[in-house]
Amino acid sequence: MFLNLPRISVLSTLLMTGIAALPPTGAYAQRGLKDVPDPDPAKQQASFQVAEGFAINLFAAEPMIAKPIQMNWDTQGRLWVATSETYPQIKPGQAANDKIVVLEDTNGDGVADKQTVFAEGLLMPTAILPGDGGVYVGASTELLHLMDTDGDGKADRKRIVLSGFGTEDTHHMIHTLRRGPTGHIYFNQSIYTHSHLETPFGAKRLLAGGTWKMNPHTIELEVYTRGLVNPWGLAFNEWGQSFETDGAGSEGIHYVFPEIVMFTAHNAERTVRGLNPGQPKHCGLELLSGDHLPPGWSGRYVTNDFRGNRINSFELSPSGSGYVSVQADNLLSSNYVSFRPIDILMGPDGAIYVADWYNPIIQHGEVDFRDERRDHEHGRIWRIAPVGHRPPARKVPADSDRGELFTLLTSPEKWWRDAARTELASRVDDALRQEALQWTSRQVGQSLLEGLWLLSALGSPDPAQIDRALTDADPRLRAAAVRLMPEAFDATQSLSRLEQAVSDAHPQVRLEAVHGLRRLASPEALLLCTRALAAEQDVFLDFALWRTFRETEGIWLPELLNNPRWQELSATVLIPLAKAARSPAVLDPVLARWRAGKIPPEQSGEVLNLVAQQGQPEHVQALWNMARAGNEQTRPPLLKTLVTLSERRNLSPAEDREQVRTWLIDADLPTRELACQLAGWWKLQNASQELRTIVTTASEPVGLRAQAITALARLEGQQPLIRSVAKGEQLPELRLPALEALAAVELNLAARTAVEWLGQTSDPSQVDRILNPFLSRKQGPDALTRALAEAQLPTEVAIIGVRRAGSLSPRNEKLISAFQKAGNLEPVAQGLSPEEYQALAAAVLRTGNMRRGEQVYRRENLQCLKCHAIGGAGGKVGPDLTSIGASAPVDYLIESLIEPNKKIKEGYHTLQIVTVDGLVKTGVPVLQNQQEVHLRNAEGIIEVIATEDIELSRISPTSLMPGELVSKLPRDELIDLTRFLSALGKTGELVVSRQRYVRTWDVLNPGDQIAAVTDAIRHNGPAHATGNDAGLPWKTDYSFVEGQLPVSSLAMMRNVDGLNLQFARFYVEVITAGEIGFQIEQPLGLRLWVGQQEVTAGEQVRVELPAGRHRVTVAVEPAVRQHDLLRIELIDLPGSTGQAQLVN
Amino acid sequence: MLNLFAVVRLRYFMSGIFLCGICSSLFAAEPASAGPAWSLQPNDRVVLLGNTFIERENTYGQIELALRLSHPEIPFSWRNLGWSGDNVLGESRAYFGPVQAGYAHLQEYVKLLQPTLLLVSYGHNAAYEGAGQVDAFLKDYEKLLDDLAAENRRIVILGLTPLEAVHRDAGSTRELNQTRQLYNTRIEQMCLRKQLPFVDLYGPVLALRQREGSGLTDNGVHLNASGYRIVGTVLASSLGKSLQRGDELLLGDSQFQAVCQPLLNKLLWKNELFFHRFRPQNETYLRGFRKHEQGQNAKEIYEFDALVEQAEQSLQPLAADIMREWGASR
Repeated sequence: MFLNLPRISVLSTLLMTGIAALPPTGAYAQRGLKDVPDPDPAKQQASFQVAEGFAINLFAAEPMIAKPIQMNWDTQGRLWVATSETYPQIKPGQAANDKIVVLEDTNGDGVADKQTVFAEGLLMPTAILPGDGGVYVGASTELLHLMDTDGDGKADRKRIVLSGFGTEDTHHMIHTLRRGPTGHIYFNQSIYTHSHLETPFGAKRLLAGGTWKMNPHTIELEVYTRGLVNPWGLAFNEWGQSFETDGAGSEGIHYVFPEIVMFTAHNAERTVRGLNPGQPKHCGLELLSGDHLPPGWSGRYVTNDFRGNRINSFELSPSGSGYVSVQADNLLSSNYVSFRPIDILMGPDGAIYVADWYNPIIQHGEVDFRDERRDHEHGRIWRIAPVGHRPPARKVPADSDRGELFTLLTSPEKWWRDAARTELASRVDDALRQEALQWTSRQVGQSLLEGLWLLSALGSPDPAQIDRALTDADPRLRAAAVRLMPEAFDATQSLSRLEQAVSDAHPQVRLEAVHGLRRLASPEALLLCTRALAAEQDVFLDFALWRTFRETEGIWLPELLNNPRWQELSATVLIPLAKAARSPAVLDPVLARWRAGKIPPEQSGEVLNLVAQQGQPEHVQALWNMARAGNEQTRPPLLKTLVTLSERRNLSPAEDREQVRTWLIDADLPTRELACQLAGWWKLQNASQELRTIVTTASEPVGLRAQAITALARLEGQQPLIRSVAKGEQLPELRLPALEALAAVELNLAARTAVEWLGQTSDPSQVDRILNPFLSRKQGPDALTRALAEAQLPTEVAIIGVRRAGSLSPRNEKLISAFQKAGNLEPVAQGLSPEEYQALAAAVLRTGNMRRGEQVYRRENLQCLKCHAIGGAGGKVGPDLTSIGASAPVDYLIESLIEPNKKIKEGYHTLQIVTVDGLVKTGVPVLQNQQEVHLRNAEGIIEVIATEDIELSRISPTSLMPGELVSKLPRDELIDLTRFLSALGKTGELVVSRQRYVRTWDVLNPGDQIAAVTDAIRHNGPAHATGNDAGLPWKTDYSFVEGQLPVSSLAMMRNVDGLNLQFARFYVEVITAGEIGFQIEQPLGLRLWVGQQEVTAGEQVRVELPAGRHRVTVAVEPAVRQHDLLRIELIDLPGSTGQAQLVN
Repeated sequence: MLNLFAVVRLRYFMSGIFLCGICSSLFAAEPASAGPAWSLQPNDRVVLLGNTFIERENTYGQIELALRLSHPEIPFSWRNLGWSGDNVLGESRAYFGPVQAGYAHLQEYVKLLQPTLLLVSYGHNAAYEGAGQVDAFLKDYEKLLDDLAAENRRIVILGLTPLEAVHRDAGSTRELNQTRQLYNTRIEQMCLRKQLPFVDLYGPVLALRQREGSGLTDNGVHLNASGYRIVGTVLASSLGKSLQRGDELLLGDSQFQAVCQPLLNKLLWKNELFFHRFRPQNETYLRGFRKHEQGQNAKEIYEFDALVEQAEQSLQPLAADIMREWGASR
């Protein structure tokens, strides 16, 4: 009801100003807090811009359908849609009455003209798949199969197929039901879901996100993939390979395979990333196919940027054992904020169908469940068809005879092949099996695979036909055939075939062989699997192999220790094997091999890492003996490992520790620094004199002296010196390490000393460093609060203190007010009234300026860039903001800015860990498993905490985002900043384009070191800046949303080769060697180096590059160039084999 | 003693498979356990606890229907705390926490409901782990039962149901059933030792299945409506009430089913309301670690309490009406 009111008022306003006929603009779409767009489908359609060669029409809308969630076709060409008006939360006493709706276009005009409510009375059906004589429906805790047994078009029989799915979040419940190539049913669940299911084969559990694979005939269930935040897209390509998208991720298309583990998987030890880091969130996924599509579109993947009201497309090409993905044109874009495309499918007529959830509000948790702006009554299915395409009149698969169905299996349109296979599988009998075998034996290429899939779906896989595919020239067919092996061969038969496949020339076949061998998991199978370790690696193979050996350690480790055949394995194989092992027993053969010089020197680092992680006392002593016998080159890495062993695992050698003392005085600098650390960790009391000498000798390098004073603090009897240095009474250059050391032993004294120091400084980075030792200790904030009681601090120091105290977890109010008092600051207003929010929101739309807002956003002291990325460029601490404006209402944005603790996005909750040493670590967990937790802290740094060191761990109610920063902004700047955020991702405003612009840079902005840096470059020439790090203070910087780097902010290096130059650089990862191209805007006045090699900077630069990471350095001569903005794009060169991506 | 018991049980099983019908009357009329008897008392708060076997009763409602119809004169409340995949550690109830959190959740809800009669059924999943794990399972089961014990609370254990060869072949089903019988027997022995009433379902359900002649499960494991009708009938029988008319199950009579439908609908509605109270959707936002976002709506969860009680009030009078027409259970 309320939906209509604002519409009338807005329409009348528009009529008065005479612009009612204009399509809605971005500004129009966000008129205020209580405003939603006109639900008139015609107006919505007018906002759509579809790709060239396509036209869009409305297939169905309310009252035929409301709140569509997932859709799938049956073999009669009818569209089945799961809908929910109850979402997001049932009201007490409300009867759940959600529906399964069947839509038909009986006259072929592209518009649904028949609607049947097949089932009602359901609770939030989020998944649907017609088949097996009825329809599968995922609803809340259950997967149901509903049937119509009397032919009246309504379900009258319900079977609970599975129950026990989690409902901790109703947009994470099971979804995305898809039929796989061999008739298995796949479906997904998301991060907050914990499912505990019972099958005829025992209980199966999946905690957090993942994909299930079910045999519908036996209810055999396995977990196909694990991870992703909210994976609402799943598609198979014509070779049976699978891909997913994540509705709360940022990495575009994910290539997924059996047992892959991805971001946010429960108990993950390692994860595999998506193919397009820096993408917005995506919902739904479909592979386009057919000869009727406009040029270039067949073979592309389409997925919905539901927050940006757009449909993106991607082109995938094989690369190694996986794929690379490049974004192509949008299929559709719009600025209609209620347009929420969430599912996408091709239909039998060759058109693309899009389920439009139609809702101005999409946030699930962040906006009140009962918010009036949530739409519960609208919903659309849109149809996007090639202009002028008239599909041929065809019998639907359900009405076709067997012969016709076999013909359909060779159709260029995947829809028809899939539907024909499903239909044939539903008519299974012995004669059909025979016919299918005969048909298959006549096929080659992809059609042969169609036949193999059909035979599997019929329960009669044929060994001879699979063998034919295994030896085909096309690696895609060989790879697909490897995956079918378990259905046709026993373990012995499989093994001989997998032996071939694991040594295949093509990495995709090798990857499939690894999956097959992991399934077999016998000693013989695993020995074969090591052959894949010896061949060329990539991220997918590397992961699959690691996972294989990780899961099967109990089988192969005894072989490695005892079986001579395993002992012949090369170092290339042995090291990754050892890395996959949990047991330290694996170290013995590795170290034996290493000491015998049978491991190449470049792999020494790997060996040392293994010892650092798993080493036992005897290994530690062995390492120490090697270090003592070593030289300047071999010693430092060994000593570093010994430091790690002491620090993390409290392990040190028992014998011959005295050598450390000698090295303190008489050795190369790296050895001396490490000796200092060891003296401290090993508590070598008799080294105190040497350490004191280093500390007090002004001519010694300051870094060495800092190490020495830190070490001294661990020894007895050194407190007077430490105290005195910490107070600044002597050796001022060592004050910070002394303070840190003091905080570990005398916290209150250290706090008083720190506060005294804070009163005398103004350098912000200094303030942070002074505070760090206290804020990272359990009792530290209280000690600081006490020390601040009578203190006076400069305003800018107190502001930093307030910010740091505000982002502590839990927020420390006492410390905040102590800093406020010490700095005479006005307390920050906590919470605006609804009226104030509304006034601010109105001002954002009226006077906000997004360009000015972007400048505010980029300001260093606000630290937005440090934590948030746009288009993948920026910090990873907070959510990527690429399309935040298109998804979040203005009031939500303002609230998130001022009171960040009220809205914390899933996947970004903060974990607070107190270690057994009393240290407090706070951050976003990026990896959590039984051994360790990886936290990304507010500085963007990942800290690894061993589970055994955790005393207390809890999810914190505090966001890492420091709200005080933003609430300190002048009002007009807050308005501009919000306007900028609200424009992000909105068509016609600030959209991260699909062009691969360089977005992440290193820039040379040395601040007060400018003189030294300029001197160095002037003396050594530009090679000093383009070379491998010469210790220059490069800083990360980011492009504007539209891709340009503002050069004017960079420091000028004077008189380099007689020119005044500014320097920036970026990295590019070459995946496949070949010619790589860059497009450069305004190249005049630029110099360019790829690695150390200078190349001519023209509008298009082409360089031949080998695989691997390459650095591109740019020098700008502003006197010649006369343009502030630098924009460089990575481009594809037609005909080149080169594949590359930017490192953002 | 132990072995003897196992042999006796095995014979029941064999007779069920191969010698159908011979001992059916034995199970139909007699209480199905040698342990202490159990009873339904006026104003009992009955709570069911277990895995999918218990959880799906919430959807079918046949056990509750059987007990309401067989005891029309006794008012009682009925709440279902079943959770799919659950075991004696409460593993399915852990949400984001470790398994121990599931155990705490289980205790919390039993405490909340203050049952006077607690019907517990575990072991259905554990039996897949094989005979070697039975002792470990029983140790945890005993601990659970000890932790659940309270003053004014009677605890009754329901045994395991037999598997059917639906999705798995007859051979492997037979093997699994042998393990299941072992678990069932060992649970019964534990109950004898602890002096807890045990209702054997294995033999009696098999016997009645032979007589009904149709499958009691959809997938070989989980009961369908017919299966739950039989379990309801067996439970009524263990309370000394027969829901059989001659050789026929009253609950299987289509005319009787039609008469009971309004009662069944009301009872299922009550169950649905309680399900939202016990396992609310969006728990993460309402009371979990994102409650700072939707915690204001958590009050709705508690609004279900009154609705459940209200929905339950008409049930027993309706059951009494029906049984006045169809004759009291004997």
